[in-house]
Amino acid sequence: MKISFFTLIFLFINLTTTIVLADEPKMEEDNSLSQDFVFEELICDQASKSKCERIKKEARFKSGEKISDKDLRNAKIRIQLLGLFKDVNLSLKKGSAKGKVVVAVETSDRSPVYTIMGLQAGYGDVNDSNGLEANADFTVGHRDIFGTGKNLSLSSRGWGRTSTGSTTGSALLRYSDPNLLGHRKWFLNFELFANKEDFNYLNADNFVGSLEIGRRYGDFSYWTVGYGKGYSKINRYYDESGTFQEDSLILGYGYNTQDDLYFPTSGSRINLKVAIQLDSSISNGLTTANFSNLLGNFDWRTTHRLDNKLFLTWFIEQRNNQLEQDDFLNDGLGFELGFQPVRNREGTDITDMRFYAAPSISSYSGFGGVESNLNVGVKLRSKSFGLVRLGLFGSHR
Amino acid sequence: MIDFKNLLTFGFIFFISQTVLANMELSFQPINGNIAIKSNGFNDFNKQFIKDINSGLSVKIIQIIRFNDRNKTVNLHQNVFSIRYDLWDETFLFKEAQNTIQKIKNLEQLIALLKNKTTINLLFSKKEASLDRDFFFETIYVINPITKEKSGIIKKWMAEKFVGPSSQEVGSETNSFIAGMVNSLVQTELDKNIYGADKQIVFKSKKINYRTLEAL
Repeated sequence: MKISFFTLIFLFINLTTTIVLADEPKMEEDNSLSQDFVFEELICDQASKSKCERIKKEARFKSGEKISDKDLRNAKIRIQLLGLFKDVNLSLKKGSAKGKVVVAVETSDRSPVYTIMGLQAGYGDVNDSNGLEANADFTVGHRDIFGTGKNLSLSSRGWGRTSTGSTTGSALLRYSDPNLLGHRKWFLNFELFANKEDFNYLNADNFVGSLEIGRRYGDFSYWTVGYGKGYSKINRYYDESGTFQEDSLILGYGYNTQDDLYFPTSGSRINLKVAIQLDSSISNGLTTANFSNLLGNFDWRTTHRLDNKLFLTWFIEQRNNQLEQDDFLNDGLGFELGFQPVRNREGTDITDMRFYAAPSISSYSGFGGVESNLNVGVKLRSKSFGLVRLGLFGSHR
Repeated sequence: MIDFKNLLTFGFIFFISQTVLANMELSFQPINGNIAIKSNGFNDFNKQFIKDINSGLSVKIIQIIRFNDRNKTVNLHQNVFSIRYDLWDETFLFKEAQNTIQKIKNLEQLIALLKNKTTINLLFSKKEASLDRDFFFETIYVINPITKEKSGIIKKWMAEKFVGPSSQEVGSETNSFIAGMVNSLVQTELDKNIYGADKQIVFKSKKINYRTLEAL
């Protein structure tokens, strides 16, 4: 398995961090005017019946129990975190007797459809193939399929390099259920991925399907177990062509305390995924070879808030793909310095805007060499266009 | 550069002119070679803010009055108070810092009290104010501030929605909508221990030029 020593060291450090951070934080509350009430019922203003049920579930109040201002404020935040509403307001109404209250929740719906798009262009000076490169991606998703809180998204990506005429195009259909069978700890992901690669030495069509079930544990960690099936048809221009198929057992571990994946201001994120190839084979029409292998992907990133507008994210990543039988291992490390003049701004189309500059270096075991990269650009969260990333990059190997 | 030690002289002021600005009223008056400025509060309180203080839940508010010019932002005044509408007494309870709780009969009286809290009396030295620059005042209401400790609990709730990264690079950001929900938790620029807030309302004056004041 191609997971390097430094990966294991960082994994150990972060697992240790997990244990420390997983403790329940102590909270200070100003309770000078707070009062306890007896909860009678929760009523929803405007929300549909199914959404109201989910509001009640997140509020976590039981009839007849004592609730405080703090409980009510916490409930409000949890309802906001459902992501279904633009705005959430809680108010109290008199109950059947003094001290008893009815909690009224007023919400305004948020569009369940979201988009993510990116456009990056740059110059690559990679071995003998210098030239302009560009990639574009677009995702459209629905975060509340059938009003159940499940997520369905379709993503596409295209990449091209002018000097060699190389191109890749891919599409990914992803279904996620954050609370499998209504359970708070269990989740499910199903993905179908199709990819077409056209390089100057080969072209390939790849199809991968995977199903994963995950369970969260502690406050911020989760593990996943899944099954993947892949099929590739590879045409090499200077060598034998063939087909490749695999059945894989996929194991994953993750840890996430970042407060925002796109605009993180603090926290760490670790992902480790290992694919154990079972019953894999490569065939060139004359012979078939069966093999098994271990493939691993790992990435770790942690963000520090330098001041209210300046954020620093360190990252380490390792990609291990099996391309044309030869293992292709990419270790990278770098940092991203982000300057965010617009954050959670109300009343404008662009609610978040962060400029970033991210230098990094990577080593490639398959092709050899060390690649240095610089990415600069801007990330936006726009009410009209969703999440947008526009960037320029340069790379040299 | 303006010397704020000279500038921030509080005094008793008579008003001869009043300018109604964006949503913050300021008055100016020349006194013995200096210019007195007074903020009279706001024309309009945010409807959402009114809704919050009528909700029956206790609302903690940090109120900051700031002076901004090109070179610096100075917090002139800061109040921390709590308000709660008592459903059964049908009165507002108001508590400022360590003071005792005041009972206020109705919303109009409460608004008048809040406006009064935004009153600032500044005395500008004309000598100091001779630069050809703009400045403005703003009052910020940070409603129900969220401490860093509380942000840890919020992150835990966020983690209950996280479904891990995508196995493929493309689409790996699909989880970001979960985190995007924290939009409503406004980042404040106050205290490092304050991570965010339920809401933040900012009232700003129009930009004022020092020369305009000098001409008074």
